[in-house]
Amino acid sequence: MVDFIQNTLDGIALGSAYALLALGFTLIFGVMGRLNIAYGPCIMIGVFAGAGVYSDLTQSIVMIFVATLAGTILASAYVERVSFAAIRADAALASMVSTFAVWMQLEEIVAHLFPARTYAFKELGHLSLIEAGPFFLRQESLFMLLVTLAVLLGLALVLGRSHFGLELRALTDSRRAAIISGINVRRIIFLTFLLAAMIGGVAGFMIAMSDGQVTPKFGLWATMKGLVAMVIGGLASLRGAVLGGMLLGIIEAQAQWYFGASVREILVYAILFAALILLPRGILGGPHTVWRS
Amino acid sequence: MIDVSNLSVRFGKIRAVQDASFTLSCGQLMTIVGLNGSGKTSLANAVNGLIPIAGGKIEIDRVDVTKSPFHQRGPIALVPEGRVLAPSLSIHETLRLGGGRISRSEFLQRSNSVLSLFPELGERLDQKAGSLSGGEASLLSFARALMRAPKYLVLDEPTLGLSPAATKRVFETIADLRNLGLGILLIEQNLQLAISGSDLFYLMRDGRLSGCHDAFAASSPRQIENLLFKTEG
Repeated sequence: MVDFIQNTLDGIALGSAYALLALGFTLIFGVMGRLNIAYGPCIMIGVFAGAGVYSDLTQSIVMIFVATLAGTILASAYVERVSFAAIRADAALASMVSTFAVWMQLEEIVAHLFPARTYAFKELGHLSLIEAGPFFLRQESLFMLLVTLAVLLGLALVLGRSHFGLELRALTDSRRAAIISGINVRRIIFLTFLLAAMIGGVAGFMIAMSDGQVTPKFGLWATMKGLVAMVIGGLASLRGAVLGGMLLGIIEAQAQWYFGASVREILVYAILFAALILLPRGILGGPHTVWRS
Repeated sequence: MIDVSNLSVRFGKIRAVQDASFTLSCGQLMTIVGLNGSGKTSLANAVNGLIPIAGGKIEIDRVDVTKSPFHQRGPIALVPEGRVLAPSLSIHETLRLGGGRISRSEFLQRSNSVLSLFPELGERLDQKAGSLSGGEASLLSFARALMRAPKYLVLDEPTLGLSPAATKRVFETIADLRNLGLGILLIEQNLQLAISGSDLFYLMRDGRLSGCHDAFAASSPRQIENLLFKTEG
């Protein structure tokens, strides 16, 4: 039982990063009704920008964070312009194929600019363990959890209290109602992409700091984790994205402990298949699911 | 004044609206009647910039808005067919959305003014739009449009699917709004109610507006029905 609880604690910390990735996917899916599978590669651009600053310019954690965020935002703005704004609203498949093409393009850019493939990223440092009876938590896990909670709180405030949040929720609910209400839909979509990019940038920064290195596989990894968490939690549900991310983290931590790392991924995707069959809209997914703070 | 000249809308090879022209001034109620599929909703959507047009020109208060999207069309608002609300938003949030990015004091002023027309909405501001009855949703759709502080209002079959009592309430509201000085373009199938309070009415057949009629000169809805169902000679 001690092991199970310990794994759950570890899983929640890991899942907090997954939750942020899923939130980014969900925000974009909510307003567009389309998948942006280049979301992970955009974050990859950000973490490589951070790694570049770290290796060539400065070890300042603030500057590395700014570079990671800026890289993710710029890449996301590019995806929005090329794969969404430029493609008709009723051409969802064309849009998704376009994001796949952009994914390949971004990976190639990274491969050219960072030929060594694996680059060091600023680590949090040697942090001690926090002990509570038989349980312990790494300080970096606690840091990830706290940052995630801060992001969630900020997002709840933006969505619940600001006019932009109101417009975003209306657009997620009904595109036609949003247009008739006088919303500049293109502007809200663009801002939503930037918001998702900021959340993804924070997630990428935390994950890269936790790993201490980045590789071009980061894009694939982030896309898969974010998508799986979104599908498990519920399409277009921001609460579902958080729940899906946490569940995914817990399942991975338990699977790794009891069955080993190789079985972990197999189990995760088996659960994804089961979720798709049994709960095709996810645990909290519904026709009109948006976060209410 | 809304000045529409030679407006045409096409969906592929289908001509939904052909060379429609009319003018609507503040304080006027203009009604367009026509059968299903005659192009009325396409005309309403085109005037509001919700669909692309194939030709023609639209001016609002002498400003050419032909190529402007709805959010840049200035003092015009739409109450669409079927209400079209964001179901998870409350009545209060729907009004905030309709008001756009205005100051808090401006919002309070507008919402008080609008809710005085729809007191039943003011009693349940936290209720979700998706849980309202058809009649209530129709009133909220009205209220949302009025939160834009428009000078012109386009109403696309606002009584569709409503009970007789709710229909009467909607027409009372239309009369109130006209008396407040709004120019109203009403698209309606209920002939009796449509012509009773109108200043002007048009018939629409096969995408064409068949001339401007003086509503007071129309002796009966029966005559209009005859015009509507008249076969091409």
